[in-house]
Amino acid sequence: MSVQCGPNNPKKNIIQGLAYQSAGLIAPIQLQREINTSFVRQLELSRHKEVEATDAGAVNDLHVDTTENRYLLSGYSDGSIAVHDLHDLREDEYNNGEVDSLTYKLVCTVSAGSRYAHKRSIETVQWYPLDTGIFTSSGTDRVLKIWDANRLQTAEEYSFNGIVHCHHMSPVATRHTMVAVGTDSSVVKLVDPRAGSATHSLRGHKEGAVRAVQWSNKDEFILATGGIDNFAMLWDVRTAKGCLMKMQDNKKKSGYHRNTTHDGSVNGVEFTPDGHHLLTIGTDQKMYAWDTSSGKKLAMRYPTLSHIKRRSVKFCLTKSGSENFLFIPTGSSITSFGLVTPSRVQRLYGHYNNVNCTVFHADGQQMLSGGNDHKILVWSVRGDLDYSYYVNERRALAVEKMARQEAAAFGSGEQNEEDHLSRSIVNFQVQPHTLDTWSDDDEDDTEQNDVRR
Amino acid sequence: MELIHNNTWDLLECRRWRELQVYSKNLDPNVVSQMKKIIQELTTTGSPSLDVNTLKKFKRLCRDGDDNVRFAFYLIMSQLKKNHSEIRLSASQVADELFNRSHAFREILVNYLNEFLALTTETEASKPLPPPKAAAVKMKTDTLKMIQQWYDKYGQGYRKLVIGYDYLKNCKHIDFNDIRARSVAERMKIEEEERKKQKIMALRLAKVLKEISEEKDEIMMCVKEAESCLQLLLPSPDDFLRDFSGSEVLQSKSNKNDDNKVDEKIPPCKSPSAENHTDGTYCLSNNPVSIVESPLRSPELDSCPQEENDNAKLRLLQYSNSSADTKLFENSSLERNDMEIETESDEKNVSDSNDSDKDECVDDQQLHGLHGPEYTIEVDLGQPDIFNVQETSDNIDVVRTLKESSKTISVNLLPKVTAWLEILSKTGAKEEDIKATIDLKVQLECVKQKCVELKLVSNEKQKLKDADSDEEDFEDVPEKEGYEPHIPAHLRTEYGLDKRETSAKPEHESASQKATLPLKTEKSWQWNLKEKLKKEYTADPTSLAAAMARVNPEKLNVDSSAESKSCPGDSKDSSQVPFKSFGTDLAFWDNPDEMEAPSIVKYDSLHRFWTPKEFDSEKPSQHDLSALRTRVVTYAGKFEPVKWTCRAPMPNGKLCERMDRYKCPFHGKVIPRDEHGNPQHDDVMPSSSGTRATCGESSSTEDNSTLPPWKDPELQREIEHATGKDLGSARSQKELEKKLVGKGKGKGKGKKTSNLTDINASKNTSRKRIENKIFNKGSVKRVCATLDSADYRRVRDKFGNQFNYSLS
Repeated sequence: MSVQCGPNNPKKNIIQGLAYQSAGLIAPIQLQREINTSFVRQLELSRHKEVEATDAGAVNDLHVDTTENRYLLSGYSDGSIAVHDLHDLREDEYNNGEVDSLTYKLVCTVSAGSRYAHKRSIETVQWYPLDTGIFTSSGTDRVLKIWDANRLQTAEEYSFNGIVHCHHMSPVATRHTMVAVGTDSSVVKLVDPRAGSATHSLRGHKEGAVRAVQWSNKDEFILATGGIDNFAMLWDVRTAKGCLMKMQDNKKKSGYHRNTTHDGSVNGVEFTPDGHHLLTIGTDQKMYAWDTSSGKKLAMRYPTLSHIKRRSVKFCLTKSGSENFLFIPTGSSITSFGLVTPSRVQRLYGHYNNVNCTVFHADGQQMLSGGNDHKILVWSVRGDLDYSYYVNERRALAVEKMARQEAAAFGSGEQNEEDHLSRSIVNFQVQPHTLDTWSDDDEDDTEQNDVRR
Repeated sequence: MELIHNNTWDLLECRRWRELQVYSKNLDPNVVSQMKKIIQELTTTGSPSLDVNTLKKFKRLCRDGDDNVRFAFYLIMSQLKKNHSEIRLSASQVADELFNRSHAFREILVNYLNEFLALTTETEASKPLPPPKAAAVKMKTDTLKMIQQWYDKYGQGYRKLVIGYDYLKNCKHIDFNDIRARSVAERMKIEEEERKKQKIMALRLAKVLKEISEEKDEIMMCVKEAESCLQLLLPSPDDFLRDFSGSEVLQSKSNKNDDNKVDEKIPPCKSPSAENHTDGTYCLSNNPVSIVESPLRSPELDSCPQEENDNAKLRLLQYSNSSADTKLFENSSLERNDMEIETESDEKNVSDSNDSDKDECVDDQQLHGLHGPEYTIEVDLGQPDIFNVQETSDNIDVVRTLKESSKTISVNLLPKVTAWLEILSKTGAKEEDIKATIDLKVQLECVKQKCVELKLVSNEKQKLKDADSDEEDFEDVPEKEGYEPHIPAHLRTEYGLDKRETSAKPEHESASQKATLPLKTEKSWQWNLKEKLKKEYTADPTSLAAAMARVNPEKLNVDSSAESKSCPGDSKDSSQVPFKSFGTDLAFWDNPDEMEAPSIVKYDSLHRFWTPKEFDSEKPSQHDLSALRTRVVTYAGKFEPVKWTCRAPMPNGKLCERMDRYKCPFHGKVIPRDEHGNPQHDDVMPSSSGTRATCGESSSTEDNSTLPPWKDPELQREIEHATGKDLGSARSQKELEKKLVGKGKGKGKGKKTSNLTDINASKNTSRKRIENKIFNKGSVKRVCATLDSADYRRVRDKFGNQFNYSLS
C-alpha cells in the first residue's frame, strides 16, 4: 500500500494518507516519508523567507548543524564566516509591511578583517557533529581551522602544503575525531585534534589534488575520497595497507582509456543515507552510484549535469524521504532529482551567477543555496505559497475586524457596517504588484479596463 | 526563425529555452504568425523608439491571454538573442511595455531575468553586446533604468526581481541610487550651471559699469582734447563767424571777398603755406551740393537776421561731409538770398514762381542772375578737395597732441568701449547704460573719423615709410579720390571694391565721378576680358584678381605680368626658341646628300705591331647613314599627374577608386563614365587625358552634390565604431542608396529592406577587401610556390646539390 502525494493536490493526499494511517494501512513513518518526498518535489524559491545578508563576498559553503538542525554555518569567498539561526525567523520591518518577508537572523560573524579569519577564500565549513560549540573551516589559504563557536576564535590551526579543497568529520564517529582533509597533494591527511596534528596519511591517489572526502554515515572508519586522478576510493582508516577499493567499472574499455571512476576528476562524493551506495560526481558532467560493498557501478542512469568545474562540488542529499533527492549546483541553476526516479529532473532557477553550494535543512523542509551573487537563497515548499495564503487570510480577517470596530465606533446601522466591510476588503484585495495593468490606451476607449489576476 | 545564435549556449539553457517554446503550442497559429510578424516589424525599425501603433497592435494581441503573453516573451527573447544591438534595444523596450502591463509577463521575465540581463546589460563578460555600439550603450543604460523602475514598482511582488536587483547592485556594482538620482541630479546640475553663469554675468556687468564710471571722465577728456585740437587746427566756421557778428560788418556778397575775409580772420595756427588750400578748407564737401529751393519759406527768411543767415551760410563750410549735407538741406532755404556761391554750378534749374508776393525775392535773386524762386541750385563746391593740415612750427604741438589723442582713441578707447558694449548687451544691462555707452562710442568714432579725414594718421604712416617723398605723396593724393580712407592698405586689396560699392552713396558722388566710375569699371572689365583669354581665373568676377582689376588696374597689370612670367604655358611663346645642340644633321643642313657616315677601320688582328697591310675600310651602310640623319629629341612633354579614377562600378555599389593612367588592372581601359559608373559612350573610347580629367572632376562634383562629404556613411561608420556615438551612418547610407536608386539603375540588388544599421558594413573596408585578396589561402600558396620554385632554380643552377658548390 502506498500513498501518492503528488503535487496536484497535496492536501488531499495528505488527508488520504492520514486516513490510511488511522486505518492502520500504512505505518506513520511511511506516511511521513511520503509527505517529506512530496514536499521536496515541490521546492520553489521562497517568496517570503530570506537569509539576512552580510556584506561578504560569494557564498562558498553552507552547513547546518546536525545536533539541533538550527544553525546555518556559511563560509564566504573573502574568508569571513557567518552563522544564521534557522529557528529565528522574523518579519522584516523595512519592507513597509507590504510583503511579509521573513528573515533568518544573523547570529554572529567572523568578518574578513578579523585576525582569526581566513586570509583567503573559504572552501569548506563544517560543524562539529556532536556539538555546536565547535566548527571547522578550511580554505585556499592552506589552513584548516578549528573554531570555538562561542568565542569565535580559532582553537587550532593546521597548515598544509596546498590549497585545502575539502575536509570532513565523521558524523557517526564515537571512537575517533579525525578530520579527513583533501588538499592539493595526492595524500589524504587525517587530522586528529586530540593529538594536535595530522596523524594519518592515506596514500593511494596517483597524482594531484583530492577534491572530495566524505566519511561514511554508517561506519565510522570508512572514508570515501575523490581525486583528480579520476578515481574515487574507499578507505578503511584502520588499515595501513592502502585503500579498501577503487570505484571502477570492470567493463573493458576500448583503447587507451583506463578503467577509472569517471572520465574526469572526481569532484564530489556522497554516501546514500543507508550507507550502501556511494554517489560520485565528476568533471565529465556525470554522476554515478557505486555499491560500497562490492565496488560495482549501479546500472542507474543519472541525468547529465553541467558546469561541474575543477572545484569541489558541494551538493546535498535529503535523508528522510521515501525517495531521496539530490541538489547539485549546476551553473546558475540547481539540478534536483530523486535517486529512484532520476528522470524527473527539476531545475531551480534563482541565483544570478554560479551556485556554489546547497544544503538541505530537514526541519524546515527547505533547501538553502549559496552562490556567487552573495546571496543565500531559501527554497521552500511551493515557495511558501501556503504561508502567503495564510497571511492574506489573516490580514483579511484583521481588516474585517478593524472595519467592524470602526463601524462600532461610528455606532451607525447595519448597512453602513457592511459597506465598510466590503469596501475595506476590496481595498485589501487590490495588490498592486502582482496584477495585470493593461491600460486603456492600449485598446479602444469603449473597452473597460479589466483587471485580472 | 532562428533562435539560438550563440554556440556558447550550453545544453541546459537550450533545454530551458525549449520549455519556453511550448507556450506557442496552445495558441492559434494565426495569432502566432501575426505576433511573429509584428515583433519582427517592431524590432527591425532601427530607430531608438518604438512605433506606437505597431506596439499597440502587439499589446492588443498579448492581452488576449496569458499564453499570448508568454509567447510574446519567447518572441522577445528570441529577438534579444539577435546579434544586433538595435534589435535588442527595441526588444527590450517591448519587454518594458509588457512588463508594466501583464502579471504573467512579469513572472516569466523574472524567471528568465538572468538571461535577460545577460543579453541587455552585459552582465556576463563572455557575452559582450553586439554592434552598433551606440545602440548597445543606450540599451544598457535604458535597461538598468528600466530595472530600477521595475524594482521600485513591483519589487515587493516578485522575489526574483529583488534578488536580481540585489545582484546587480552588489555583484555588478551598479549604482542604482545614481541612476535614480541621475535624472534629478542632471536637472540640478543644469540649474546650478545656469545660476553660476548668471552670477558671472552679473559680476562682469558690475565690473564693466564700474569701469565705465571710472573711465568715462577720462574718455570725455580725451575726446574734448582731440576736439579742441581739431578746433584749433580747423576752426569751425561758427567760431570765427562769431567775430563777424560782433564786428557787425556787412559782408560783401562776393565769395572772393568772403574768402579774403576769412583769410584775414583765420587764427594764427593757419599756416601761410596752407593758403593754397584755403579754398579747400571751406569747400569741404567733395560732392555737389544740390539745393532745392522752397519758395514758401523765403519771406520769413528775408526777415531773418543777418547774423543767422551768415551762420547758416557758413555752416555750409563745415568740413564733415555728412553733416554738411544734412545741414545744407536744412538750411538750403536760408541760404537762398545772400549766399555766395562759386558759380560753377553745372545745372541751374529754374522754375517760374506763381506767387506774386515773392517778386521782391525774385528781384533780389535776379540780381544774382537767378530767375525765380522755384529753382534748384546745384552747387558744386569746386574741385573736390582733401584738406590737409601741414605741420609747421606753429601748430606742431597741437598736431602732435591731436595725433596722440587720436591714437589713444583708436587703439585704446574705442576697442574698450566696443568691448563694454558687447558685454553690456550680452549681460542684459539697463537701457540707459547701454545708451550712454553707445553715445560715448559715437563720440569717439566721430573724433576718430575727423582725425582720419584730416589725414593726420595716414600721413604719419606714409612719412614713416618714405620720409623724403612727402611732397610727392601730397601730389598723389588726389588720385586716390573715392577711396574709403579708413580702410587699411592690406584690407583694401580684399575688400576695397565691395566696400566702395556698398558705401558709395550716390549723393556723395560728383556728376563727373558718376560718369567716370562706370567707365573705369568697364575698362577694367574689358581689360579682364582680354586677360581672360590667357588666364581663365580672372574671368570669374568673384575672384580676387577680378576685384583687383577693378580697384587697381596698374597693380594687377604688374601682378598679372609677373604671374604670366611664372606660368610655363605662357613662357613658351615668349620668344624662347628651343635650343638644339650642334650635330651632323645641322652641319650638313644645306646639302644633306653629302652627308657621309664616318668609316670605321676594323682591325682583324689585335696584335700591337703586326698588322695586315691592306685593310678595307668598310663602306658605311645605309643604316648607319640614316642613324646619323636621325636626330634624337627627348620628349619634352609635360608630366601630367593622373587626376582621374577608374570609376567602374563595383559590387559594393561604389566606384573603383584606382587611379591608373590608361588601364585599370581590374576594370580594363579607363573610359569616361557617368556618375553611376556607366560608360558614357557605348563604344569604348580610349581615354584622352583632357576629357578624362574634366569628366572626373565633373563627376566628383556631382558626387559631392548628392551627399556632403561629412555624410559619407563609411566615414561615419568608422567614427561611430570608434566613439560609440550615433552619427547616423545608417541614415546617410539609406540616403545615399535612395539617391543612387533615384538617379538611375543604382545597385538594385534588393538587399535587406530593413532599416537597421548594417553592422557588417564597418567591416567591409577597402583594407579588409584587399587583405582578403592578398592573404587568401590560394594566393599565398601560389606565391609560395613561385618563390619556392625560384629558390629551387637558383640552387639547381648553382649545383647546390653538389657539395663543393653548395656553400658558394
